Amino acid sequence: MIKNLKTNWLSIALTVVVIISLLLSGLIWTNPFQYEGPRHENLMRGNQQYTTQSMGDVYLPTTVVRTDRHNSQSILYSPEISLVREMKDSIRSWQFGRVTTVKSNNSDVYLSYLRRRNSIMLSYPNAIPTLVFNETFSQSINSDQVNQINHIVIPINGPREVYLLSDHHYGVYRLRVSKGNFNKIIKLSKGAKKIAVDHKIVNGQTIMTYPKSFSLPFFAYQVTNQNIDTLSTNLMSSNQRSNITTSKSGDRTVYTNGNNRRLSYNRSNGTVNYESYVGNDERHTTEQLYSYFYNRLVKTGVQLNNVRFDGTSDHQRSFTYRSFVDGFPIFNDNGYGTITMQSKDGTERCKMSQYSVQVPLPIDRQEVKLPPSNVILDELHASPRFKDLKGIRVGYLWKTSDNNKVVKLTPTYFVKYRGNWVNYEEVIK
Amino acid sequence: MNFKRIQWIFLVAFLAFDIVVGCELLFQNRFTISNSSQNRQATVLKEMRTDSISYGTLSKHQPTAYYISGSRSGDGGQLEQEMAKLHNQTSRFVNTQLTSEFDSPVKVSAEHPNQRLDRLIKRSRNVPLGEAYQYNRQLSDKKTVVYTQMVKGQPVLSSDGQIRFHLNSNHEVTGYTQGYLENTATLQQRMTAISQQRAVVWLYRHNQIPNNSQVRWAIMGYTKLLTTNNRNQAVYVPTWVVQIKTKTAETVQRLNVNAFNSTVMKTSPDTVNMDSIK
Repeated sequence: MIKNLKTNWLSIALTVVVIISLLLSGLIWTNPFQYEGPRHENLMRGNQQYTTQSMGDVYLPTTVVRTDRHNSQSILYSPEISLVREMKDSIRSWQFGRVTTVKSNNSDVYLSYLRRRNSIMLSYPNAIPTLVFNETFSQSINSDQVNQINHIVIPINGPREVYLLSDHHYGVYRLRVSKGNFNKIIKLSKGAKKIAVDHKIVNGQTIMTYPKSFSLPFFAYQVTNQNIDTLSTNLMSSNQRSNITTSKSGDRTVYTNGNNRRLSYNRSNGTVNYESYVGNDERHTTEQLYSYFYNRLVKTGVQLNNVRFDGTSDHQRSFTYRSFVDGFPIFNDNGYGTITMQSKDGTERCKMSQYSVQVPLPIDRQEVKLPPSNVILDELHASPRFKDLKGIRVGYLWKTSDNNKVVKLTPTYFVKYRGNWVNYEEVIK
Repeated sequence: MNFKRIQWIFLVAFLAFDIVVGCELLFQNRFTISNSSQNRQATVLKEMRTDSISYGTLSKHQPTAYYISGSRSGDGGQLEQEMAKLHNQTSRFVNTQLTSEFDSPVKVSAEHPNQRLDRLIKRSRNVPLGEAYQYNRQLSDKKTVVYTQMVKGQPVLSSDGQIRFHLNSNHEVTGYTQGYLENTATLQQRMTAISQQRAVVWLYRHNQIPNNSQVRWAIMGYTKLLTTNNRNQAVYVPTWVVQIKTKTAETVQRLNVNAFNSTVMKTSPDTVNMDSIK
């Protein structure tokens, strides 16, 4: 036997290294996507902006829905803590086993998972690539098997499984939980405030409705005014040494840096439009844009504490980041509190404003009563614009006023009209 | 070429492949974003040492905290009401501050004044609302023992929510001044603040820490960010208060860093007019 080993040791060693190399190759194949963008971007700049918000804190689901054992659903929110963020921290320590496809292309089955009895569901505002889910939740789900995710359904006091739901083709995927403690999530859901909701699939689209009337509080904020010189430098700076030239005409100031970077600032409403011609359209794949735009976002110097990813448009080449309060999005006519990043046709664009809400102010705790969403939809139905509406959601209205130092945020319904979220009252007018 | 030779070549080639790829996988840094900033911080900390700035262990933990609203307890407020219960002391309440002198001074230990005082403040006949306060070693010195009001687990680092016991040269407490924050409430969901290390590094990088000095301590607590005209309520923000002592001149200074947005706090907070939205 030993003699045999001695004579054949070379073949045995060769077999061993070949097996190791096969294993390593396998690992690389299945290894989650590595974000290439940030590595280069970060090292170039000395005076880099700093944020306590990681990429996973920005690309988070935005709603938490609890379905009880009587099948009634409610949104959970808390004025004290961000439930989604706490749940994320908990899920990051879980270990998932194999992924299996439960069903696809069946909207009835899909809806039954959206309304699964005794479950907690985390929903993204928009489908996100599985790679981004992996980054946020520190997992390594194979993105060939599950391509994108809209909802994460966690059955409580049921089998130790998690379902990933993708609105596209109504894909339902099952993940076995090999290690993980559900108690923290159950505890978080018990202490939260509730608003009754329901899920439906209308014209092939998943929508969330509010079947009962409910109340939400006002919020007051000090309006933070970012210095335009800092903002323009943050947006335009590059690793090449170049001068920024300015030209003014009326309310508009245009900053240019070389031939390919241009920023236009409107002094009357504080909005900023930045454009950079990069020439090469394929510089970043859609998946890379998630990390690339996150880094751009950090670079703007805007406080990201309550800023969240709020969906894509333009075939996933344009990303929207929005300020949230208590888990509800904030909308403004001038786009205050919203940052849009786009990379399309060889041009990068960034649309934002110098105003943001960061410091909350004490305001008397009155609440606003909102009607059920079907009342709103009935009102909208009468409008000729009804056919252009896609989606309804509850958020906070930031009304632009002459006094741009403080703002009162009012809860109301918003509808998606021609690609923009607008106060429903505007549509009825 | 014989078969054995071919085997050798393959063995070497595969071994090289395994080592290279294996190392790549082992040492890859997926979280390049935080890593590079951590490295930069380590570099800055080294730079500080070469500038003869000494400091103890600085925590990298990012604590969570709130924006808090509250107002100093004034005329007819909780603090003044509780005053009626006080015994064996002469007290007066002027302009939201309670000042009291004990009839007979209280002897305390020089090293651990809190051993005696912790018991003392628990009784409402000695100190009003004492349950809400905790001993703060850093803010205390030979002449003053400071107890800070605790709001959501964090101390109030300004006189708005403090009891300051006055000590005489015999380690006796002669009396105290007290401020109390009432109607405290959280204004927004809990957020992540910057770490202790980040706060000190930030101060150094913005030339706030002179060469030849010592960072004696850095503690986080609430200080006033702004005041409003809405029933005199103020907004408090978690703040890293850093004490720096210059080695040569023996001067001590305190710097306040806003722990949410890493900026040096103003010495006098702004007042916000909320008339338009009340």
